[in-house]
Amino acid sequence: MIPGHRELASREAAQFKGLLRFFEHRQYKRGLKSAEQILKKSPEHGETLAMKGLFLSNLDRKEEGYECVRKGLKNDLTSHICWHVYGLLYRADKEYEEATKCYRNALKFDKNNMQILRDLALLQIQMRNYEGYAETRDLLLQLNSHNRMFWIGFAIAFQLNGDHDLAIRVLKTYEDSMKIAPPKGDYEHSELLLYRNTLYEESGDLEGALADLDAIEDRVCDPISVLEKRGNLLQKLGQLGKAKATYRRLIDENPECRDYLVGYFACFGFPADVTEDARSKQIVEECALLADHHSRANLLRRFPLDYLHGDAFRTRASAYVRTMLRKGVPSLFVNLKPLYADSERAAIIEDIMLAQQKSLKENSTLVGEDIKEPPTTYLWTQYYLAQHYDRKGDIECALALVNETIAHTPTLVELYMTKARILKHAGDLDGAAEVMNEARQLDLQDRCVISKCTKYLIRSNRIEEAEKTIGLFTRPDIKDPIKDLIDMQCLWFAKETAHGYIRQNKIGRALKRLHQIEKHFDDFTDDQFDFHTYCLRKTTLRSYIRLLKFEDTLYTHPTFVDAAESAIKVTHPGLRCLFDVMFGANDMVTVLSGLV
Amino acid sequence: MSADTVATTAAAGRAPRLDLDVITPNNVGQLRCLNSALFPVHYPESFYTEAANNNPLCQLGYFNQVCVAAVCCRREPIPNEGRKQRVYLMTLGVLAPYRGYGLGTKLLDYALDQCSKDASIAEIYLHVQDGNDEALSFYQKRGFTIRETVPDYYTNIKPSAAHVLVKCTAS
Repeated sequence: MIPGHRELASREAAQFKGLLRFFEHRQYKRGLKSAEQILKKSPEHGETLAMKGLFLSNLDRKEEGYECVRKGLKNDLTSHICWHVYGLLYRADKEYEEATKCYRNALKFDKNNMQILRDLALLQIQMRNYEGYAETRDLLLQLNSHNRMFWIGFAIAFQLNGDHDLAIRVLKTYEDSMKIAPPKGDYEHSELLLYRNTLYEESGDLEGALADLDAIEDRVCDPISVLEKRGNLLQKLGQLGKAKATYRRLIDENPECRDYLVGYFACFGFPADVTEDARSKQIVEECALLADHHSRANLLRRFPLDYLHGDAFRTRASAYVRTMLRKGVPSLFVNLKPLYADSERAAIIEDIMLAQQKSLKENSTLVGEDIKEPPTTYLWTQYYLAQHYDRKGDIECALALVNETIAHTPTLVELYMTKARILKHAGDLDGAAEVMNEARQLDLQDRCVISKCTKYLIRSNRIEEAEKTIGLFTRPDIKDPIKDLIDMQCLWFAKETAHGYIRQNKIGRALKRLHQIEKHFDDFTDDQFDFHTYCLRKTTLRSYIRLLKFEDTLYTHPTFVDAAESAIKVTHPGLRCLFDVMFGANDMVTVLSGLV
Repeated sequence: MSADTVATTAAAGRAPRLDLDVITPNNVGQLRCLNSALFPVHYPESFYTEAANNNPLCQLGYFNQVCVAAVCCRREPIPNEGRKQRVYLMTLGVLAPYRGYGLGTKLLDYALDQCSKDASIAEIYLHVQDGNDEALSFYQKRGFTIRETVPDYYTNIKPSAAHVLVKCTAS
């Protein structure tokens, strides 16, 4: 029996049903107009008032929308529609707690409303209320056991609550209930099978996972994932021979993937008594054999350098460097930089490069060769050495080298960028900014060097100039480049300008930038909302679970931590000593005096 | 071919990659840089504006993908010659370490090729500073002849005299 105050005349009742359709099809203006027509006849009708509020809210008249919904709810407190609409408004404003309360109230008056339950489930997963999510998913599946997404949602709920076995059973039950087996190339089913396999692995049942992997292999569209899973499982189960063969196939697929090489060598099962030298030797020989099959794979020549020392390292590094210098690879130093953690290796690299420099300068040849090298080989050797001495902290030598090389080839952008970095390390931030600006002038369509120039200008406290520079690559129809950078969530720029303003003691502007960074991360959190439905429909479940885990740790991102720390420091200077303790200050006297 | 030539050729290694590219407002900074390094003369802003306007008579030269050379020409009417035109070669230069590999020749051949495509262009000419024997030799080997020598052509550098080198374009 419909309460008297909720009843409408038949024409208005039909029109009210139309409101729901307008909303579903996002026709907010027409919906609003229609609602107002109903209200002319029944001005106190709660549910129509609620719907009107919903339309107003979606037409950017939020205050009016809330007012309207609240009035409607007051007029009809037992209507699930009124409560549901109220919840939708709160959800749109990211007020998830309030929205959840509204949905629960709505369900009191319409226990099995599927749409409300679905909306509730979305809020619960967004807020990581796993138990509530499982309850809601259970109820949905009971209401409609033919809906594939409900089965999937139910399984995910169990996984998130740590019950992998139940999740697997849910998926198996669903698969068993399918009357027609999906065709072989069915991508969505393929992803579902891989997701289920992941559940076996996460539950610790490695043997079960391996058996399941063998069973599903011919129905899976993603052969690389199958190989990666198999290699990993076999290795953990101690079946090193088979694991090694699997990793070998992966290397054949992608010889530039370091993880595959690491996995491959982990399967060699070097006995404990094998010497480091013998192990290195075997790695070198194996990489050489692999390189015979993959002659263009750079990793197979670079990987052994991590394991070699002394003369063996010298020989291999020398051959490696020779090829790169002749080819003219600007990123050679970055490629070798991890080796500098070992001072012996760093010294050997220096010897190698100085010998090459000498040979090229005097004979135009690489060490031990007769072939005349073009001047670009000398150019890249000089470029490498400038970076080398910069890394070493020998600023004078680095600067002399880079200047000499600029005289040799003044048109190379990389040289000016390196010179700027050397000056930065020397503490000459103004000089660094000038040189980076010179680099920018050589190639006005390279936004990498323009971004670097912007950053260096900020570092030398020339923020207005920096904004003009970055404005070269922001949208021309927006007058203020800062607005475009905010729209595009440009975190590095906000961070650099915040620090710049702090240095200039412009705390208000700094805080504005820091709050922008916080806003971006809040947006990243909210952005996952639509995917709670989308990923279940698309069955991209493995990526979805990775997304959820990523979102759970989102606020540990270095940029956010830096922004939060800076904001606290500028607004609560008295907490500095606490920060020093938390972040590992070395000077205990400072800490103690701060506490006093 | 002499034995020395054979040996030199064998020892030369792989030939470097030589490319040409048009000058645009985005890379005209390279041209400024080259001119500063190569020529004692300062060029006005109009020079660069003209060169950067997708002018087919202006090109950057790349050696193993590093920009090391450029050629800049402009068209001029020939006085008292009606519809005939000539091309003035304003600059042609290669950074010192990159000479001897054929890039300068490639740039000059490109310019000559552009001239030969246009029937209205009768000749191409340039000024070379007196005493710059290297440049003189380069152009004379490629068919240029000294038409005259202009004393005091350059105002701020010594020697101030310049040779006018000319080559008639094949038509």
